Amino acid sequence: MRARLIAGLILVAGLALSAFDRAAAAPVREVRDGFTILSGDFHVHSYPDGLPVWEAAREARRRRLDTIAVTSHNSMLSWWLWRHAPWMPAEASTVIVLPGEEVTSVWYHMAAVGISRPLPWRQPLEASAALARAQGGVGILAHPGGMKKVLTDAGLSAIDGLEVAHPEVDWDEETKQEHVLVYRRALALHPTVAAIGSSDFHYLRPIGLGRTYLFVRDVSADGVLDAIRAGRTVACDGGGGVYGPPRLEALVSDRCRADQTSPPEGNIPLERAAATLAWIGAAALVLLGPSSN
Amino acid sequence: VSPEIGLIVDPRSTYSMLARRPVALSPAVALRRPLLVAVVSGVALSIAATGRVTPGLVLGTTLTWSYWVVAQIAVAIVLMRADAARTVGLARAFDLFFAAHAPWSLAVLAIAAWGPAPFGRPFWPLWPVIIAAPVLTIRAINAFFREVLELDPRAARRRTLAHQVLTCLLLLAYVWMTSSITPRLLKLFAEW
Repeated sequence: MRARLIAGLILVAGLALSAFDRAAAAPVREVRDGFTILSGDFHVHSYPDGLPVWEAAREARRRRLDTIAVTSHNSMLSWWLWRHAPWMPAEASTVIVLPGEEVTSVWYHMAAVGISRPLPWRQPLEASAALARAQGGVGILAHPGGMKKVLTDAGLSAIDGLEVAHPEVDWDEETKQEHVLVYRRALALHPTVAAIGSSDFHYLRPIGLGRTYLFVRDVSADGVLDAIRAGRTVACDGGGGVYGPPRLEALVSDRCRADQTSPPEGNIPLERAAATLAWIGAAALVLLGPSSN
Repeated sequence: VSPEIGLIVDPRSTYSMLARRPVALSPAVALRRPLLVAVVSGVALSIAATGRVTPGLVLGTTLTWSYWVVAQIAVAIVLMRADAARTVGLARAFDLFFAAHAPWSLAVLAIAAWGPAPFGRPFWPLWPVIIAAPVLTIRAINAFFREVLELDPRAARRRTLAHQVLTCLLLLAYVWMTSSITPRLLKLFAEW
């Protein structure tokens, strides 16, 4: 009984300690040539295949992201949950959250961002991109590495952006080269196609590992979508590599490296201590069980 | 040794011993082990996704993912209701059944501790845990049906199989809905 009590107290102590973590600082936004530079991740899964959406937004702020799109597979459930969230952490409300969907089709995946209704998946890429645009949104081809043989010129001409940086590219050079080849092919067909970096956040790898810097005229959802349509973006991969128009790349390459190598905001030693305590308490409770009966 | 550790080491004799103990449980107290499963999942998923355990994060994750515990409760009720009434009572049977969840809870905690790594830390050290969890669970559930619900070996095996099939079907249905499996399968067939 005593051991169970101690295990429970260790778990509670971890949670309580974590409550003393400091909040992420208010974003400091750099302005260059009349454009504000924002950092975004347009491929974020939240509940039902990730964290609760308000927690995903809070985590985004902690990882120095200004905007995210919530992209459930072939549904907009995450967006619905965001709009009907039972509570909203203060840090989450400072992030521009965009409605979205990961259109999961047979031969392509596309993050449709800024849309108002889910798109059907039984259609070619160009039709999905056109439908996203008709709803005032944008179509971003997701993790295109393995799709290079089936992607058509019509599809690549129709999209507004392409995930050239995705955590897949951090794992092996061949995948990275495939992504870059598809990006170059799209660029040749559509010179303002936006270079996008996304994390495809679910669990186990952090949100913002793969992120996009946007040069926006105004800090709003419309400003973000305008920047993507105009191709005023730079993709940043998990290793600090940048992809996009060379003039813009030069403006954010240092920031990309810094963002990908710096710890998240907050008191990291305290967070680690709290998580370790909670983990030990939980594991001990599992092994001891809630009762000897 | 706790019931949970006993069920990992020797499930039949542990369940046999536990079933003989006269323990009267209220339905509310019988929810203690499912509740622990939900909280452990909330802690593990919070750590896996963010490395943090703020109370709001753990609470939100626990609540939003508790549907999976509810699904397991539903499966347990379907499979044990009639026989539990005849043996140890539904509340007690329910409590003992969830004691067999420890291997999966430990696996989820192990994944949360080791898994999060941006640049491909090898996943293979987790494979023994991921393989051991279902093996130990199946062994314990089979022992539960034999020793607690007093089914004969053949009926216990059938009931264990039914439990695994129902659980896998529920999981598959969930993944199907949230991850859009239909187009992925169509792609597989087309490539094949």
